[in-house]
Amino acid sequence: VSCSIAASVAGQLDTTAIWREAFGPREGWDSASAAAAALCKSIARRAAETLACDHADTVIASATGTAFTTEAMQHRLDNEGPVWLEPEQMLYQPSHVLAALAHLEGGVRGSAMTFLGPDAAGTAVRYAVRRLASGRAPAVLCGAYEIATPRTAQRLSSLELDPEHAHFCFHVLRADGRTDHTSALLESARSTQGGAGGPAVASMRALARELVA
Amino acid sequence: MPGGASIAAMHCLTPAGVGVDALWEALCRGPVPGGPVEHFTTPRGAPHAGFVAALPGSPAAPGRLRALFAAALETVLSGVEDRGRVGLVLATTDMGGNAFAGDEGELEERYPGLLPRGLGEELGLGGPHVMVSTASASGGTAIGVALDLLRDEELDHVALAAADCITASATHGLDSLRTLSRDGCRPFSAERRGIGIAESSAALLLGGRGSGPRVCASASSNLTTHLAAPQAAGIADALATVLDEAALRPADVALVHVHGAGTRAGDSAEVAALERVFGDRLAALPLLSSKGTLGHLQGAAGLIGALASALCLTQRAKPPTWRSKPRDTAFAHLDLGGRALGEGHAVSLCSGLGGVNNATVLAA
Repeated sequence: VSCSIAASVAGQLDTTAIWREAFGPREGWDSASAAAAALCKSIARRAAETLACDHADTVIASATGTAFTTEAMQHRLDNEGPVWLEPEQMLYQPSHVLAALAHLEGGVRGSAMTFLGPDAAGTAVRYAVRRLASGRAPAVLCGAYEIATPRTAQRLSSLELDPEHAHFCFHVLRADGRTDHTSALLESARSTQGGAGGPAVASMRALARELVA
Repeated sequence: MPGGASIAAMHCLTPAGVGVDALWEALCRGPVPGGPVEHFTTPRGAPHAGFVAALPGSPAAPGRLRALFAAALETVLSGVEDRGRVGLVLATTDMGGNAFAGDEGELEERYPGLLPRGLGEELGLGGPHVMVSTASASGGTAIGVALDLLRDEELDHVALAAADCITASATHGLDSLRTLSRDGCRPFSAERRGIGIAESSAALLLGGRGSGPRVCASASSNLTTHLAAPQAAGIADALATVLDEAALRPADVALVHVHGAGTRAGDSAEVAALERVFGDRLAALPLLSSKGTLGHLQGAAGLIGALASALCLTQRAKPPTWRSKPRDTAFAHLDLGGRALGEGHAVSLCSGLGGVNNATVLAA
């Protein structure tokens, strides 16, 4: 099936203040949790804004998913003193939360899927194309995000993660091929210049670049 | 939708023991008690959990998740000599719980997102390797991914496995949501207070021309208005979609393995969804929740539900939903007892945080 990119959005957000609070003294934990949740909501909102429909699937890829939340939770549990976590942390712990939030923010019905790992973007694109080709979805929000802490970036150095920024790139794929998507593709391709957002986000950006070429 | 696949092999490691025979025996015999959680300080609501006693090593070992996956996969792949056209689909909720709780050693061999590549190479699988992570619905949604791969990537088989271990971050996180109960899972009971969790792994080898049970279709829905609250609309959407994709009518269903976790809101939403799809027929529809027997197996729950459904179809029988007594009067009409099964298909349901729901249809 030939599918087109009907819309795209890509960007990066500074995470240094969140990590400073989350992995610093106890008094910073609450604001770090709220900021991490707001970060996820912000990315999902940007993704959902590209969806101009009420029925779409969402397929999201990430090399490390929400490992940043698990790492922050473990940091709290490793500290001396009372052991507790905030409910909001657990709500934002599943890697699927970005896909779920995109559906919530976009007010769409359909299925949502999350793939993890360095090869997840390719898996996500192929999965999205299958959903379109089989007629199971009229549109698919297909994208990637990466939010890596300094410790995770260091310990998974082969993935070349950026510990200072959250990166994201989303495309709305359609099978009809009638939408004029040139400007969105160019914007997406341009945003890849010099951006190192990990393998999943880089692959999503490369997809747009290839289509533009 | 064309599709579906034969189940060439299935295996599991649960608190009930190793293998599907042990699973079936436990489903028929009754609840498997959990053990004390000793590898981290537990919250007040969760002093116990279910463990796979047969798997050597500490539940806290950084490589525990990988070991759970490997043990299930090695068994279902044992009869496959040419693995060049075998794909791999893994599923988990784990975002590095044990990996981050461990020492500062090598993360690349134990981080969940990197396990498909490593295990695929170790097992000599030449097909695509994929990690699915859709919260507690991971094992169910992964079935749909495996069916798609098998159909579209010219593969002989797809090995599908779901696993989770008992981690401090997930346990404390679930406790913060007030989801955990000291009393464990009591599906549809008037005394249900939440869930008890367990570690496990389950695996299916899909493909080939087996004469055993088949997976006919699998569909998911993320229709929701809330990140945490289970909602009937999304469950009903997944259920209606999978029946449509399998070209079945509600009357063709002889068994539903429900998510049935034993939370107040979850059980109510699930029954409301079943009533929407099955109407008056629901009262005569055999229902099973294996969580009363095993606890909540987290990311593996959906795959264990599919395994239990396949066993019911093979055995032509449905074990009772244990720990559902005393029954909540709102659910008095449900058929939760043990009984023989008639002809028909089975549907396995599972749900997860974030409003994700999956329904999978199986046939004998």
